[in-house]
Amino acid sequence: MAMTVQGVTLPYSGLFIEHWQAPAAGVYAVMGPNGAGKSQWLSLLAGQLKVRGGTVKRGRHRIGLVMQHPEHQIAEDLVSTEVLWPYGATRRTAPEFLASVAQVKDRWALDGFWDDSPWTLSTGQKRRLVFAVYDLLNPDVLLLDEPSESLDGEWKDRTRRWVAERARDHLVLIASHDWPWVLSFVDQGYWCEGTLDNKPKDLGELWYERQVPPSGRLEELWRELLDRSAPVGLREWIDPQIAAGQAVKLWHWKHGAH
Amino acid sequence: MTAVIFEGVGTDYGKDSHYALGSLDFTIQGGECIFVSGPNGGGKTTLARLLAGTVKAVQGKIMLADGPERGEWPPTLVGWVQQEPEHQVIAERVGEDVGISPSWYAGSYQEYQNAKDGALAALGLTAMSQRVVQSLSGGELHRTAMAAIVAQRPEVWVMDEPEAMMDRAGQVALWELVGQLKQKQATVVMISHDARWLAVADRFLWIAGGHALWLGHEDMAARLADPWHEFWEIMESQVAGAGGRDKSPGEVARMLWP
Repeated sequence: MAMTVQGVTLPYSGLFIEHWQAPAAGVYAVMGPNGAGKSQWLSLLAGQLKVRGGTVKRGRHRIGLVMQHPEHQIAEDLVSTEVLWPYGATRRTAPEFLASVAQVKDRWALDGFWDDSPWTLSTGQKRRLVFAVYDLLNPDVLLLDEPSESLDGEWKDRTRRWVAERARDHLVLIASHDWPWVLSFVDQGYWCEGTLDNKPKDLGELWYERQVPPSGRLEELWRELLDRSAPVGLREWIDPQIAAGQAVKLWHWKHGAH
Repeated sequence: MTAVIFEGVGTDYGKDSHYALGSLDFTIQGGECIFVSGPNGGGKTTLARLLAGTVKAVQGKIMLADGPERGEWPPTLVGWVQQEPEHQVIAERVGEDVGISPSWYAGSYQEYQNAKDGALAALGLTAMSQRVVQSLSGGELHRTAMAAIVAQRPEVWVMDEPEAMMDRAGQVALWELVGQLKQKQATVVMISHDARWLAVADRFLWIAGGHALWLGHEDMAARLADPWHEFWEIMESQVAGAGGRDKSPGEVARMLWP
């Protein structure tokens, strides 16, 4: 049974969800201003936020939520315990489980601090630890709240690859303000401000429609070009190599060289 | 203007921790804006903690140009916007939290009120003054933490990933705030993975594996994969005479698509 939300108004943000039905699989962005209710919506789906009216149906899906602040989800005194506590002693010795643990440790580079206290880690490392916990738990639906925050460039790339791989056969929702990061691999998204639409929209169109003023010079250049009806794509600015290739073509058109 | 001198400074978190920073030997000139970046876990936040005085140097000393060492600095001299705003927002309501510092230093109720209201307005929080902080979104909480530091009126600003979780309106307010700090010749240490600070900072410090390295603008831009920098590297290599790196995005757009 698909997850659905019907006739729910969230507290504080006032976000109204008339009807929302979860897509079966894939990765979708959840974008909108601060305080619009993005995190609340993810909490609602995860069962952490109760509302008085409306209905929320989650079916039998196992739902994982990686929260905005990784410290909210860290409770143990060792990194290894934080990753392994949900599993009983019998399971921990099973060869296939050990292989999964090894894969997760490798993916999130936990070997170097496996026996350390999680409280000694940097914020970016704490976020990787919480990703690792959910990587191993392998929920049917994964909700990620600002997952790219406090990650350096390398870890943003690695997290993107992990999410994209999961989204082939799982549902992943990402609440974020990091437009370049989500645009680099997410096709569709929901705009969250006052109301939430039932159907997702093309994320590039959402960016052009909603995201002003621009946050960087290349983004600003692209918006100017689009405003001038230049023949450029909505997402080319997020990759400077592609953007430069397109700009070179425009330059040659203007100067008559082909 | 307040200059800070690091003289052979090193610190760590005890013998069981892998993390250490130093030795640091440099001066941050009064009125300078330093952009600090580097990989996760490299020691950036430790530098912030040294300046804020929550971590002590185990070797060397940190002092002001006119002599006082870190332990003797006035409590309001350094304003630290922490990576996790929850670590510093402690009052029940937004306005109360922003007013904590003025309630200590203000000579009159009017001065207290002006400092608090000015700081709330600077971060676009006037209408949210009575909001309970637990009801805030991550971005709103970050703005509250920042407004409290505005109200503190520090001479040295340490900002640790201040743009995290902020929507575009919040980022614009932050950008304007940093512009004002530069105008007032405050000393600013900006810690971030965001290449946009390249356009604002005077000098660039890369911290990795506990070691600090001063970089030029071009080197820092290359390490952070600054999109504007990368875009122009390709443009200039492929199109003879395609200068425009220093032009505004609007001017470049008109150049490419008149």
